[in-house]
Amino acid sequence: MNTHDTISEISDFIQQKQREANAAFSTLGFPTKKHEDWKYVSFKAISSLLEENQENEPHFIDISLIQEILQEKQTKQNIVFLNGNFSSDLSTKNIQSCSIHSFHKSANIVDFQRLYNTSIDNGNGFCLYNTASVSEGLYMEIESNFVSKEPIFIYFFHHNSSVVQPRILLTLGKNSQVSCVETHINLSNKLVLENAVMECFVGENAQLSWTKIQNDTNNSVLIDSTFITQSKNSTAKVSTISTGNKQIRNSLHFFQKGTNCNSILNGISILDKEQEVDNHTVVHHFELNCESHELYRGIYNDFSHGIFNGKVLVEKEAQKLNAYQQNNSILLSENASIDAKPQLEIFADDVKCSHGCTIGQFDDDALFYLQTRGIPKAEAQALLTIAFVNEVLEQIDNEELQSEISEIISKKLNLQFDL
Amino acid sequence: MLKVVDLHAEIEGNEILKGINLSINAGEVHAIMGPNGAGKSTLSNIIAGKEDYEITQGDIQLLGESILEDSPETRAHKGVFLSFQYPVEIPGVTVTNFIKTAINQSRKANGLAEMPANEMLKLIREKAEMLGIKKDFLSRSLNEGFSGGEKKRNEIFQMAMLNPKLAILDETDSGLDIDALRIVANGVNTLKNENNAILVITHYQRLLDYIVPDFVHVLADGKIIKSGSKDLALELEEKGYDWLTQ
Repeated sequence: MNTHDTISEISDFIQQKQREANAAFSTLGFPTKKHEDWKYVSFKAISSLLEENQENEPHFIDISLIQEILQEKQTKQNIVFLNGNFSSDLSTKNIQSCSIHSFHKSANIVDFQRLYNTSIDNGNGFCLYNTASVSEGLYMEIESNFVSKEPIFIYFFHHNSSVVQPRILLTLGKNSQVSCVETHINLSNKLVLENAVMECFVGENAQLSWTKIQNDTNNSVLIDSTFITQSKNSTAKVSTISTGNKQIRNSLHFFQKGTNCNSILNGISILDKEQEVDNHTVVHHFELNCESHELYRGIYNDFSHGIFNGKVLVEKEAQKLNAYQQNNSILLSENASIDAKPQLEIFADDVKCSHGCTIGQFDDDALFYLQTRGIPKAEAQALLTIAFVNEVLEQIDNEELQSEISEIISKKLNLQFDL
Repeated sequence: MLKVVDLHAEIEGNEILKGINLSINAGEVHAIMGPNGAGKSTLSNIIAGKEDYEITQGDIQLLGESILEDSPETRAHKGVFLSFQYPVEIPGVTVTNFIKTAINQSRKANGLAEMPANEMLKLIREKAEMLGIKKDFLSRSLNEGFSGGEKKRNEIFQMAMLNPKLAILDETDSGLDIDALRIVANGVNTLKNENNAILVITHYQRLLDYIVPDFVHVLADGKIIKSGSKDLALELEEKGYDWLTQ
């Protein structure tokens, strides 16, 4: 098959998926507050952006500004999206043992067709909308047995758009190990809705660590849908750090399709003003001897709003399971709120499943202790916030990344000193 | 140094301190003893500025100025230090960075520049050595997983670093074995000088064998019912508190 044929075959395939998604979407539409999974979400900003998108024109992005930002970041392996489209020009060439192509230029057409769009939630209108409008998606394959030392950084830039829709398909070959870090940057003051979808397939005995740094400007709304399918003996970890954005919705699904899988879901949310973060997680256990560990911590100030919905599904064959879920929230203001809902559906009889959910305030004695050492109340509160999220932070393996996230958190808390 | 004048305080309508008078001069060590529930910890918390209590009458003065309206941190900046019976654990913040922050906050409040890093390091090394604190201890998270003894030692380390004018030691002996008690007491004695004062709050006489007070006061039911020399502590050890309260 020559290249031309491959490109046209893959284009036909993507278009076919677009048509199917379009048809499904026209019946289903976007979710509303009437849907159980979306009932706590504020739709005001989302709806107006979706409406505006009808007459959306492509906009010019200043490439030199992006190059400058990347230089400042000093990260070595970069993948860049512009207004929802993968840009091979701005991405690092030749990332070791990693094949990076736009969907249309995909080299491994067989695997692409076998995997693309097979794990998404077709009951979620935002996923269908993404599939229907995808143009330059990223297909990223990690070679078998490759163990990466340096994380791969994925930057999503947007500028003067109302709706952007990045799409990623990631595969990890057998025994491979990779760490990816995503960052979102709105370059303009224009309010943007980023409707991102990622599918990831983790091969046998492979290890994925994916860190979502959600620290975009107050003019950004992020709707993220991430689907991770694991083969046997694999480990997948997703750490979601939400400190920025106007509003964030994370739908995070894990499918454990092999024995001895381990899924780790960590989250830190530090919100103030009128920010909203919704973490919807689903861990679906199908097989024997698996584990899942989920730990989400959130601090809510001012008028901010947190949502946590953690679902654990245990199929009949998923015996000897150890599933652990914890969600702890601190409300710092009378006007802040959290809606928390753990959900366990268990059809196996030999499993250990536990969940814990707490909502509280900082201990006055702890604040007083810090104040007696001369630390002003606001800073004392910030220190206690650090202490509260530290258990999650410690699980970020890469030291540099851990200190970068510490810095983001310190900045968010206006903390003036080293930790 | 410290003057407590006819201090009345209540919490949720219950009067806990019922007219405390106490005067501590620079260079002096005072001990407050008393049965459980007498109001000992309340008094130390109120001097340090805890906001849960309502002061209904009286005053607290440091160096001749009322500190009643000051926040706990402002009192700390003015030289008040309270060593806690149960210090709080702060994971993710190291002992070293915490003390650096505390020192520089006080310096900032007093119009001084931050302490230069090498000077800070020297001071930390010197005080750690005095209290038998090892280097790796300083890079651990503040109080996290510390034993009772380590927590108390860390409190005295912070006191040594902050060099307060008035140090209040609330039940510093609880949870300490005899060796740790000796080290902690030696630390306190080394820090004692003509320009500062120490108030020791304790239930038992044991600590006072090591930190010898100039004056001993007995607090019972929100009032100081007896004051005397260090011999009073020995008498209390022998006879208990009942003979005074009856």
